[in-house]
Amino acid sequence: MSNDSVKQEQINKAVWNACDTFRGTVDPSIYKDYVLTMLFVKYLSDVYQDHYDNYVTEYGDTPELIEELMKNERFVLPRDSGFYALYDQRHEPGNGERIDKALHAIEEANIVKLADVFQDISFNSNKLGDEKQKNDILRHLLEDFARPELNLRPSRIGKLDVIGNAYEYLIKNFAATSGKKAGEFYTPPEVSELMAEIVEPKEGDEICDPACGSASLLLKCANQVRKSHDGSKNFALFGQEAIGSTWALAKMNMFLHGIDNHKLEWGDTIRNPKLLDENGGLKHFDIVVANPPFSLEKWGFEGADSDPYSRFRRGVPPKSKGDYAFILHMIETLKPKTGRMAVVVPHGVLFRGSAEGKIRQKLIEEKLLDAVIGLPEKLFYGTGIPAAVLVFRKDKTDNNVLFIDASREFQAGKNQNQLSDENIAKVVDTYKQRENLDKYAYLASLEEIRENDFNLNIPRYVDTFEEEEEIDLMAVQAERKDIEAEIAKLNEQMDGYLKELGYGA
Amino acid sequence: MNHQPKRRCLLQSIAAIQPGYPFRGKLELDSQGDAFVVQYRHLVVGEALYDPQGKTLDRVTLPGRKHPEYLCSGDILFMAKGTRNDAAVVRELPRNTVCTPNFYHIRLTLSACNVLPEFLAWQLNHVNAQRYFAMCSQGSAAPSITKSQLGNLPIVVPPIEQQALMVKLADAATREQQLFNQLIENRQRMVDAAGHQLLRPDTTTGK
Repeated sequence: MSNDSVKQEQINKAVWNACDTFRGTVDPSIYKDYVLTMLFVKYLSDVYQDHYDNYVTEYGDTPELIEELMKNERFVLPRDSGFYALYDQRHEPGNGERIDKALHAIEEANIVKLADVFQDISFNSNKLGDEKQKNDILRHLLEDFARPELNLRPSRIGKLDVIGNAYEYLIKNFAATSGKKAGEFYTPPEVSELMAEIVEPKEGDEICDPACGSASLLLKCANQVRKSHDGSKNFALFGQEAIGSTWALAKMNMFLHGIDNHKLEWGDTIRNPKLLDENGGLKHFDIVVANPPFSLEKWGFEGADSDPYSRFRRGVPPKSKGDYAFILHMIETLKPKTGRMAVVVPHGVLFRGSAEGKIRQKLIEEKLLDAVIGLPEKLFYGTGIPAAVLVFRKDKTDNNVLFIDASREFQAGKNQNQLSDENIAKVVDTYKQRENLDKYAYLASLEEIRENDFNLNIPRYVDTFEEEEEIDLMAVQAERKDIEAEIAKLNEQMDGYLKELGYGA
Repeated sequence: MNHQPKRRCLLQSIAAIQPGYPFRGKLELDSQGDAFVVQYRHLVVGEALYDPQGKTLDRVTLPGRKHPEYLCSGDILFMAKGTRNDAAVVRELPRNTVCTPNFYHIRLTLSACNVLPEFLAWQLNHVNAQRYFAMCSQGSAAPSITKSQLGNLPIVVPPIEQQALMVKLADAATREQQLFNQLIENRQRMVDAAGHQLLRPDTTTGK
């Protein structure tokens, strides 16, 4: 066990160090794609080589036979397209072009799995500098990945998760260093974990994230099923991501976690939902989770009132705030009886009026909203604002809404706060108990929410202020007299000392 | 009284200067430990270290076999690393107390019986000494004072009665500051109490 964690740390460190080659020359938001792609290629190559060597010991050195056998591999690696072929030629000019060709060949050979995954990345790009600099950088990159710590053969590494974790580690670190853009591709792991535990995915569930980023939230949900059902792989992951390079990250992330059976689509979820059923309607899922962009400005207002999937029949969200567009999309993709959903939202979603107020009222009156959970500030990358998680359920029996104010319990950090395991456990337990908890949780009835004009602002329901303690005015005044008397005495003493020191008036 | 001579000397001529206990790496606290340790956060400028039971101190297990140099009453701790270079005198601490290596542990030599430890600590915190430290302090990320720099600090030694008066005056001024802060806080509570009574729905006046 500890051996595994050592290995994990070594690998994490080695891949992070591989980024040094780029530092100072290229921006992290650009080089992250190169490093992550290279990690993926290295992994494919090492697995391939490992299996190849096994066949050699089994059948002897018969390249034709083995090549035929290798066609049934999880990933097929065309000759000369693997990492080691690229590494061997690293001192010759044209590294960028060679890598691009290799990626293309890998994609072609595995077209079902990897179609379009490498289309947004070009190692032969001027982003890496002029021809000479580019060649140099890429040579260094190949050399960094050839180091023994980054030998990713299954026979050395053991569990595949180590590589998936290294990949996530990189994504997390990129998120921490790339400022505002980070929110685009990464949700902090504790928030993902919290959401996954709240929606409790079961064996056989279909799970979807319509704004999946690098897919870490989906993987957390998958992990819930594995953990509670003895490593079961009986679940299906679906996702959609608008940004091409992020979508590619998500695909690679899935493969590196051993989840080949997934469906991740590339496209804008609101304007062009891609996850459809056989009749061309929206596909329905047991679990829908997402951390959609906060208050997206150009979310697709123009076509919304004539949406072919009538997702906005409860009302069209305001032109410049896309929060409810995502919420409504997610609601429409829930399975009628079993659907559970958790979504991260900025606080405005809880109380803004006009169109959003009307949509909110309908969602509450339809008995869909199950819980509102307020999170601490500075949890997310790229923004310090506190966010909330809304939980919706199709299997709700009462019309109450549970409010949890989890905003005051966290591990404080310099730039970033974190939720500890205990913090997460308390939220999840409170959610399951569904009872009032002093200064922390309140179960509000529909009537109470109506009295509040369907405003869900958490302090209206959860009172976290300490009761003012009774102050004895007389005692306070007496104390003041004592203090003043002591000061007068001190004054006299100090005058005396000063006089003795020769400064007397 | 003012006519008695003031002696001038260097700190190293009247005191022994040793680094604190050589803990390696991060300080591992241990609630069952056999020794107490003074850290930066225990030191308040202008106040002596006084905690005979060690209730506010941290406990550690000292790894070394050698008998360490424990702190005694009358020793002075000086913060050598970081942006603060403050000193405090040890009034009373448990017998088995050490300090971290961020401190220098200063002990007056036997021949320096004409110097009050409290006065020396006060002088180390005085603006003249602080100016000297600011000039010596090296390193931008973690400035620090070397042992020889500290040893070369010029010290003024007035007659012992004047030292005692100066210490009393400084202590009284510190106490006065605390009292003024208490007055501010007291007034705030008074305002809170009056406001609370005024806003309470079931009474008509503040009475």
